[in-house]
Amino acid sequence: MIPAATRNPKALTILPHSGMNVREYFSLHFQGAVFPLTAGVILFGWRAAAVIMLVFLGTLAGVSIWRKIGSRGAQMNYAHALWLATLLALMLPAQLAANHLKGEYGGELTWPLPLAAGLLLAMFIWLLGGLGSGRIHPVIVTYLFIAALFWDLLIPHVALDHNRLLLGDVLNSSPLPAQLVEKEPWLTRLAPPGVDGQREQPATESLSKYTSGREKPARGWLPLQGLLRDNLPPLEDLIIGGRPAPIGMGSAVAVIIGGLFLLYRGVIDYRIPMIIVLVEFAALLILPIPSAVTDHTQWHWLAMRRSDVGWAAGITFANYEIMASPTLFMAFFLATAGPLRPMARRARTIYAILIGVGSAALQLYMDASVGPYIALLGVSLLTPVMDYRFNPRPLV
Amino acid sequence: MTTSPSNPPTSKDSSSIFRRLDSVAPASDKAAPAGAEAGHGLPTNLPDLADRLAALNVQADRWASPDLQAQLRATPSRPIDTVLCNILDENSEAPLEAHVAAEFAPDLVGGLEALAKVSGASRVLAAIGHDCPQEQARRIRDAFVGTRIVPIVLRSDYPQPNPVLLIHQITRRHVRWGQPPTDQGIVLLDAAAAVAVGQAVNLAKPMMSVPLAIHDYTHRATHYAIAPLGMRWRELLDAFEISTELAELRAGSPLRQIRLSIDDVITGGELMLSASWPEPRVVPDPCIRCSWCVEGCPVRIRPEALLDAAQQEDLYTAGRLGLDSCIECGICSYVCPSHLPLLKGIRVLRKSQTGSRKR
Repeated sequence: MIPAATRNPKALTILPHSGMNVREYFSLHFQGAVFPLTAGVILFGWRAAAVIMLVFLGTLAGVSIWRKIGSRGAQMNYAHALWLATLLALMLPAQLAANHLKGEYGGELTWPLPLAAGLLLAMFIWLLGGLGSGRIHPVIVTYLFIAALFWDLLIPHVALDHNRLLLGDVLNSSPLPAQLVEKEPWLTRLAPPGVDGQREQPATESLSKYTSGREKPARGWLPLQGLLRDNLPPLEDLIIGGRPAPIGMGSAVAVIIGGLFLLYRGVIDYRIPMIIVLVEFAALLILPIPSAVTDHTQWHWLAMRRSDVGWAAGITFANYEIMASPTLFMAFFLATAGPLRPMARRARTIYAILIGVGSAALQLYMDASVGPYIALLGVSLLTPVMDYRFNPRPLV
Repeated sequence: MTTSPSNPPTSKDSSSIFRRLDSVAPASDKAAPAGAEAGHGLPTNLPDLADRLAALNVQADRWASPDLQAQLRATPSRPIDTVLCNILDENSEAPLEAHVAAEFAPDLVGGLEALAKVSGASRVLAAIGHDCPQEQARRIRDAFVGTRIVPIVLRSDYPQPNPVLLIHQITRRHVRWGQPPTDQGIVLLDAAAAVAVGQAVNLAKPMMSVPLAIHDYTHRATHYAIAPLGMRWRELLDAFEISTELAELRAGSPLRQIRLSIDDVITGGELMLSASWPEPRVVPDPCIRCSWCVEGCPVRIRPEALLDAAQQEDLYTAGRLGLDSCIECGICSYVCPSHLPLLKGIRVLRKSQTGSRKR
């Protein structure tokens, strides 16, 4: 017997229905997102909470208006929209909740951006068909839209010091003296007095520059081992938290726990995140990457087989790519969305494999911070074909 | 007590859970050997047995027991090798089959043995639910001692009692909904039908009354009765003091959403009834593709796609999506967060399919 993902019919009271409704369904999802959301607010302070509230406000305002427009407006649902707003807020950096920015950003007002993102999200929900419709995730489209316009503003640069959590201010930070990243683990280092964090280059930037060939090393030569040793933070900081990242991706552990919660409640299929991560890991090991960046950089398939790279460096590099990028967040919270993923299990396997491979390729050769989103956007367009081609095999 | 159609005679043997609403004396504890006492020999083939049963008004055509007459009259593509008695209950709050099997165990055994003899089946199986009340399970097992009936204990989680799933679970044979199990060499009937067959074959007793169970959700009580065919449901509810004003009647498991009118009569079809408050009207939301209907479906089809096909009147796509495999258990509608009428859509498709086949 295939177990139903809800209450046992034998325990039903009066009505021949489980009692579940759309609002409760999305609140289950929200319960899973509480983990990365909480971690984000703790790691990035009150400004992260402000960004989240601004996105919520913008979305609610947008939905309340667009619900009244046409038959598509009737397809909009507040619970659904708030869930999407949560996802969008988790993809944004905490520094956006700024009245003005100090230092190199020259006093720009950025707090209207999350508000506008919420409004834009509502518009895309309407445009893409509302509840249950469409194969294009409104959150990804919204994020890419604002990223195209405000790319620099979306790059996170600060995580709070471990004794300034929650109440610290990510804008009250100082740049690192002469290096790109702080090599000391987050749990043991201390921010200079008077500031709440240190500004540094996020890991995705370093990785993207290296693998796409945009890196211009100071001495004209940067090997892969040098990248891992000097230009990237300790891997455990990406797993636990404490490095610049979007609000919901500061701690890979929190994302994984949230995803496991969704699995436990039966709202997502375990195949999709598991296959995406495994396939992407394998693809990152196989796809060509530079063993060293020079004036004439060469990319090598299965780079870890080279003597100047080695298996340890290759696997460590793949781990960095997975942990630094939005892969885990995308795999658990975006790729598992109902309208995007196919219905049949075989089709979901193929769907996840395609996302894994696409995500790895786009991370390496385009940008590690948006590659997974674009891969998901592209593969989800194939879902209707996969739904048509693959049907579950009936029992009889 | 004066008797009238609105006030039928009732009697209740103190040892029986069933309240008799008919005027027929309870059957004796012992059943005669197959075909002996009635002065008729056992028929030599299934169609003759079907004729004898039809003459005595023995019939059974319900969700847990496919049309008995059709099974006996069918020309099977393979020899009958199994007689399977379905003693699983689709609603654990009203374990009617278990009580019938325990209380009329000799007749049950007689009926199954007669069927096995006439059909030439080499094995006789009885599926008993894991949650069968202990006392009833003991009585059933004791009745099978010394016979060739083999009891099989199964998890009776809904919709396991459905013949398609039951046959697949026990024998791994594939029988589709609407297809007689005899096509796969199996005669399947539930406990009530087996008892009726036993009484007809061994005692020449016509089937003029049937065992019934009514689960009253408003008071959380289950009532059992032996009621005469032709009695109205309204009279049955009155006998148990269940309010007819509030009652929404459903046959079988409430998930199957088979509504009855209280003015309908008892015909010997569905034997388990549930009475509850009327359902509030719910406006469905759009399908959110949660896939809970797909994951909950016991026969692994796509109910949400079938609803789409129903809305577009696309029988070809419905066939591709497994319409013929659906057992109408209603789990898809039960789990749907959007409250979509999935089961209704599938029934509409089936009706269209039947209509187009007739043309």
